[in-house]
Amino acid sequence: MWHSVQFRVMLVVGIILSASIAVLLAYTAGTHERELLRHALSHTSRISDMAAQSIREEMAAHRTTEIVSILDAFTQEDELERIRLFDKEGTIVLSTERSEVHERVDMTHEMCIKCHTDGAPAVMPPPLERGRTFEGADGHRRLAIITPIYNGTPCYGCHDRSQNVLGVLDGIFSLQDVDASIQRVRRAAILSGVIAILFVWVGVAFALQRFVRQPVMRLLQGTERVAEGDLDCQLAVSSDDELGKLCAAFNAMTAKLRRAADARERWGRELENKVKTATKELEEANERLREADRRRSEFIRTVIHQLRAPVSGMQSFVRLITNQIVGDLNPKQQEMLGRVDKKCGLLLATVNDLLDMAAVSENRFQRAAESVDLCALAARCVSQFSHLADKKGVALALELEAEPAHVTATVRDLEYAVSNLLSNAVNYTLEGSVRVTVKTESDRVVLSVSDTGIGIMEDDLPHCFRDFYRGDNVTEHVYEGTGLGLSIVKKVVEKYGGDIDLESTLGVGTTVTISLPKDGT
Amino acid sequence: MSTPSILIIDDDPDFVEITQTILETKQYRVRVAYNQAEGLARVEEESPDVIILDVMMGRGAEGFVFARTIRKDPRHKDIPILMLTSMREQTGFDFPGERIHPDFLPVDEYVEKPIEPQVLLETVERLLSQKDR
Repeated sequence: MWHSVQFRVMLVVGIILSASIAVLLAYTAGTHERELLRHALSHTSRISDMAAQSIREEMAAHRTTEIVSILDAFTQEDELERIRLFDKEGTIVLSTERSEVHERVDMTHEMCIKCHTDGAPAVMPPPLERGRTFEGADGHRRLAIITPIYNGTPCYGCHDRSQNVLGVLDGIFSLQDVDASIQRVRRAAILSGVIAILFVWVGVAFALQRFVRQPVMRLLQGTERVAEGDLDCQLAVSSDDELGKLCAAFNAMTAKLRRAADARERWGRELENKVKTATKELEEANERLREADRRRSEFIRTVIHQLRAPVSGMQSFVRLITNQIVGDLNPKQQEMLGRVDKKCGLLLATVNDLLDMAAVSENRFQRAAESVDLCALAARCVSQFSHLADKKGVALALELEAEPAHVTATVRDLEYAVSNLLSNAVNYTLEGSVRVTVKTESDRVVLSVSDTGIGIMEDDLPHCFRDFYRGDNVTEHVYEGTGLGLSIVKKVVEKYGGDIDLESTLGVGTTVTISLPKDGT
Repeated sequence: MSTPSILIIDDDPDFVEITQTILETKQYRVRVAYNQAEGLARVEEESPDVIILDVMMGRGAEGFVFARTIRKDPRHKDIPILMLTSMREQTGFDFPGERIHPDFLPVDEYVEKPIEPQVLLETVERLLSQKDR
């Protein structure tokens, strides 16, 4: 409730208006009360004057009985409750309260000081200022007024006015009726005030409800609906004030949002369709590509297989003949068949390399990498090449500086790489030695194959790892190869996070170093 | 000691002939078979001293099946087997660790095709001498 604008505005406006009404009514009632009192005072003073006039002559003649009867007549008046007559000395000579008679009042008494200052002769103030009010023992208010009794106008010609005072009359009047009127006025003022305040509050509440709260609540509900995504929400515009304009602006805004959302949705659907179509096309294309790739691989394998078997057969027959198992040959025939043997060997090497390359790039039937001891593997490879090295008269040495030296790879890939390096080293070495070393350097295992072979020309060094690249000096010699070996070795080594390095001096020798991450690092 | 008997099993008649020719220069007694069934029949007829076996990839690697069958048979499990392989031809076979593995390649020796007559003869001689011991 406290968090409602209506309540807050109502509270502030209501308090201000109520206070205004209260002040206005209090002021009016106060004015009215004062008027009533003045009226009573003027009436009282008139009666007192009349009484004083009436007893003047009797007093001058000291006719007490007459004075009493005249005053008795005055006390018959409703308002005049009591009357007292003082002589010039301040002694009560007559009173409706018999017990007071002969009592003397000092000049400092509150009823005296209105006219007398320090006991000096009176300076007469106007009658309205002579009155005084006090509360009696019964709780009702009284109005008292002192009226001087003079000798009479005819005497003023000779006597000083102050010396002609015979006494003073103190009339005490009841204010019961006046106070009752005042009470009525007050009650009426309070009642009308309460009714007016009630009307003010109800009116303010109604106006706020009608002109502020309702449109604001409509706007609030509309905003919530829009927030929930209902863009068709339109508000009733019930007035042409600021809030009405706000409602109209709200309607315009939601309509605009609706149009934008529609456009976006259309665009999104179009985009989605496009993406779907494109994805489908891509999937189909991809599938076709996979199929084509599968067929290509299949084709390559078939071709290789179909090539291998006949070449292998041819070479075996040729060797049968050159070994003179089936009959003698003349030297020319021997030499020519030797060439056929070599060509067959080259053809088989090419086919094998192509097959290896296909296997490395396809990862086909690839086993999971495992922990492999490079020392044991190198030893195995060296033993495989010992026959060829012996035949060529090349010394083949193996140095294992750290044994074992485990790396993570597949046996097949590592064997391929090491065999290939050994094959190159043995084949391109005419005389001298081939040395294989395995050692560990911090977190790497390093294998190097050094030979004292023909070497590689400086210009060829940067190209050695390219597919089908062969150095110029190689073709001068009898060694025949495909130029694929180092390229495949590099691919294999890099697959396991390794590096390959090649150092060579023409005519002196070549060192190929591969380094692989050590296991557990 | 009588002339050693050698059984050649290969589906390629050319290789059968080549191998046979090479072996006969050393006066071995050579018998031949062109598939697994024939090979088993020859073994049953007369237990050979050495079996020269081709993988016979074209026939679903019958060579492997044959080698395992022989190894399981208590009567023949000690016959040395020399396998002629062209393993690189098929990328599907890869043997962990040692090339010759009792489970994966249950043979005693292998020789790569194409055949080098000298190597073939040396290997056969070695197998024969091992068997005698």
